[in-house]
Amino acid sequence: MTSDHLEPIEAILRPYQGRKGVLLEVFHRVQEAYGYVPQAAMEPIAKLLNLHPSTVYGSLTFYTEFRTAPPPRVLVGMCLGPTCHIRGAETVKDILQRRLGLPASGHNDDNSCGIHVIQCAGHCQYAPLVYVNGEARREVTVGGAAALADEVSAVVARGGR
Amino acid sequence: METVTITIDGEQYQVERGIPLVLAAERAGVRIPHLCFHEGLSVFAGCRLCVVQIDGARGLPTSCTTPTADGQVVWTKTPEVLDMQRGVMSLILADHPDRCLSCHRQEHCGIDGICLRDAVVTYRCLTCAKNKRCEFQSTSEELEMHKYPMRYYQERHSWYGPDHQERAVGRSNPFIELDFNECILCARCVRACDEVRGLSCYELTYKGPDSRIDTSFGLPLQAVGCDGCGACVDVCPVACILDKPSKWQGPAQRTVTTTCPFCGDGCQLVVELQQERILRVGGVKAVEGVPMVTCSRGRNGLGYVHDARRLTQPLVRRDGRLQPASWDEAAALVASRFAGYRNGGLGAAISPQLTNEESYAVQKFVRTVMESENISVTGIEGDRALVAPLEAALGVGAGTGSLEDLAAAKRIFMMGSDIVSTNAVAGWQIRRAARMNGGRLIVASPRANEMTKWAETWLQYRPGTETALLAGLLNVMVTESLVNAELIEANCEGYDAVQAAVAGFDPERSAAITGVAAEDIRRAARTLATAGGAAFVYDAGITQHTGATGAVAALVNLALATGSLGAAGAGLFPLRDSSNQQGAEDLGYRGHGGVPAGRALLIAGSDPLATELDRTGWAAAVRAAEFVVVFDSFLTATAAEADVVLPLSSFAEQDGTRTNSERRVQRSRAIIPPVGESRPLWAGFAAIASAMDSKECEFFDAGSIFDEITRSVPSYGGLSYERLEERGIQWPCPEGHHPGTATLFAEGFGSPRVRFLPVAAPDDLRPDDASFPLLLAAGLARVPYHREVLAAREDASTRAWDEELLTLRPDDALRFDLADGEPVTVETPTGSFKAKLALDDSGPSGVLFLRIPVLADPSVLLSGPLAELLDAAAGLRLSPAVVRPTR
Repeated sequence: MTSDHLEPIEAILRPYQGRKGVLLEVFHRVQEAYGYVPQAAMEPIAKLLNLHPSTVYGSLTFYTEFRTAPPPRVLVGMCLGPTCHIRGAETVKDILQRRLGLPASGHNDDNSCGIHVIQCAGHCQYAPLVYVNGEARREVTVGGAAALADEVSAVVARGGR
Repeated sequence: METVTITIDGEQYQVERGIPLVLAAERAGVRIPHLCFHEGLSVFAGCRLCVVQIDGARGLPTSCTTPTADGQVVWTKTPEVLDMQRGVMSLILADHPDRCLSCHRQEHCGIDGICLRDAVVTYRCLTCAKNKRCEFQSTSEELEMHKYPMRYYQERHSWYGPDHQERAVGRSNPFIELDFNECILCARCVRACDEVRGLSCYELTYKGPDSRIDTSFGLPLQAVGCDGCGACVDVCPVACILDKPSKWQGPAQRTVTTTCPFCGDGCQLVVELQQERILRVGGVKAVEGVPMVTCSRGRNGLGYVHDARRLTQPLVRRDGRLQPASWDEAAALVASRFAGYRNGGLGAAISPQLTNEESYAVQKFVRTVMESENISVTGIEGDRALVAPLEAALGVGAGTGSLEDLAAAKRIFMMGSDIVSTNAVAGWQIRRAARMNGGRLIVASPRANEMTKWAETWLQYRPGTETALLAGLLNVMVTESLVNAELIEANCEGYDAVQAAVAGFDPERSAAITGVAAEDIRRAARTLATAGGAAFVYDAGITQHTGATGAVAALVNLALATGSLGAAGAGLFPLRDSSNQQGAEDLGYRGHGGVPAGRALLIAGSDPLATELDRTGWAAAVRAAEFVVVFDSFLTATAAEADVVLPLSSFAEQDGTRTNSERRVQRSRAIIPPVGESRPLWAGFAAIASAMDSKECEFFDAGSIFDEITRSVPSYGGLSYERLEERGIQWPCPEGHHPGTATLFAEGFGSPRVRFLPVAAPDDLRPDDASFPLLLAAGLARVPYHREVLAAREDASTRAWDEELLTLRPDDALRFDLADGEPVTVETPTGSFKAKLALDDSGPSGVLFLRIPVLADPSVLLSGPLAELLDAAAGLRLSPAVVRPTR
């Protein structure tokens, strides 16, 4: 996908002209359109809401759900909320990371695969909960982590499909 | 101020009600350790260090978030409090190198003490740039942290932990170095940039253990709009944000507060000195709610006083060359030659940066000893025109309000050049009003700049059409009956004539001339003409263009029509370019600039051959004069042509006063001893006058001259150095107990009546000649145009914000088939010049902007390609033009 296919930032922001308290909504819309909130969006958003770009960036980074760089083609979302944590999510994350060969940053160099920590989704009955490209995997215990890693590897090998 | 009685550690104190307890304690002389609290900034309560025990309160509340209340009983040194504070310090220290702070050997080490074993070399106190001037260090010592074991060493992410990651040091800004490795997340920089400067270059990013201070996407400061003011440097308690030039130069030996010598905002600077040299400059800490202020120019431009090229002794022309001489010899020579030019033979020009005392001395010498009235003030052309109409209409030749009131102004109309560059501190107040205090900002400016970003309405007019725009605004107010008729009826004359004059300027006609949308003109007029009035802020940007001289008169009319005079945060705010332009005028200088008449010339403190727009006229006058005396700190282009050059003390070497744009008379203090044999201007004239056997100019010190000024200028009548010691006072201050006047006409107009000013019908400046389809407008360089800064021209300050010389909109460039960076020839009906073209879309279409450069070497300005440009600029200012590629 080239930038020509993307919706221009001005078009995304237009409906929010003159409205107050819409910063997070704007982030969601931009992330939907681009997959992340790019640096180039800071100035237009700041201007829209009469803020400084640094203030916009501060709010953006406060929320782990928003990305400031293009997402990996295969994105593994790890819940580390209290229930998942108690049921071994940290270890699951370590296993996934090691088996997928991901460095400490959580991303491959070619951005083919990455692991992100996500907010608690509220499905604690299924802990530990792991998302693979938005699709939920329930009760990925320490014992099941290796199998999931192999499955993810296969998806990565197919280029994310 | 309402006071309450509180008890701190068993002692009773009278303190202000409702202020943070930590501040009240500090004012009462009881220190409560704190790191994130800073007077003048909002309360953040992030460091948790200022905890105290309050009888009847649960737990240990932070004293920054606790307002003072009557009968509070506060304990600041109980074992529980101290233990909590040490625990908090230990937590902060876990993420900070602590050997520089808590080393047990510290108390044994002298200045050159041996430090061998206790810490890794890079973490010793001696290796920190902030050593001995670090608030974190002094707080750590205060709590005797070296006596207590650190409690949180084992954290993985802590400074010495295995997961600790170093952040790259930001070294790309010429003035400010960022090293956030030692950051303690007090967020003082975030608040200072946001609240004091109205900008927010910094923000707290991420959260929890990942929190860090950063700019947007970690961009360098200059890329996020930082103007280098250094507010963040002033408030940073650790070694994260530092003045790059003086980073490693250690603490000051002493500090002196003085008035900045550059623009008319007249900020107070805290000058730090070491070995009688200026080490670094900071803003004063908040005084009575007035925030700290300095801009990059005051902060980084003062180093010129130590320049090795300073003149140290008088020079006298012998055998065609300037040669060193003694003061006696030079004064005797000047006296004997001047004797032949009495009674009108001498023309004098002074710099608008001189102190009131110096300006007064020159004037007295020229008027009484030389019996001449030919005195002018050099500097930015059109600066005098900023207040002359105010004198005609209101009887007071000065701005009517206070700059700090602008921050709370409800409606602001701003017209002129890029005010954040020319009068930065006044610009920040307006930015704060617009961004934080709900002020409605209307900016009228041909080009996009920092303030147009924050404006509710930006009226982008074509240069030279100022009066047409203002006539359009007044027309809307008149036709929609928005004017303050009652006030006009009671106090003003001349309204009918003005009403008739603007009758033909309905918004549509005004729009056709100015290029501004008629609807925007209507909207702006309705906003401004609301009860309570508006602040009209303007600078020399509007008086420099031919055909725009009526703009100030039109602004006065608008201020009267909207009933804006008399209320705080409203009125007329001319922003002066020079630190004492206002003072010189208060002392009776009415010269309009330009070359003074006279067979002999006296030029004091300015370098007209290099910095005046009419360089050619000045060069001719200097060469034609029979005898030329120049007082200056440097051997400038003008001084090099003189017969006698006398070494002048800089602002830093003499006492005196300066009067800023808001009529505030402020003390300027001697900071360093005089360089060589340089003298203040008044001392030089005392010597010359005495050599001429005159008793008129027996000046002994600046203080006695100021006393003389207070006797001869009624509005200064109640001032004295003693009264100005703490903070300046705004005139009129007619007698000794008068508190000064923050806002003029607050008590009404009295009599005589004020008058509306006739404004000539504005011209339609659209080019009508098809062979010159563009309009050429010349403007000033952005940052460094004061001659004092020029002296340090090899300094970073002259390079930091270099702008291209000639700019055009990309769409216009397309019409003429021109590319960015292309060498072009600009042709006008009267001549042509060459320049490099830069494309930017900040201006209106069809306008070529030429930046007038004053930053290069004077020799370059007198001959060479820049000279050609300058000549063009001086003659043209606004002219039809065409641009072609140079081939």
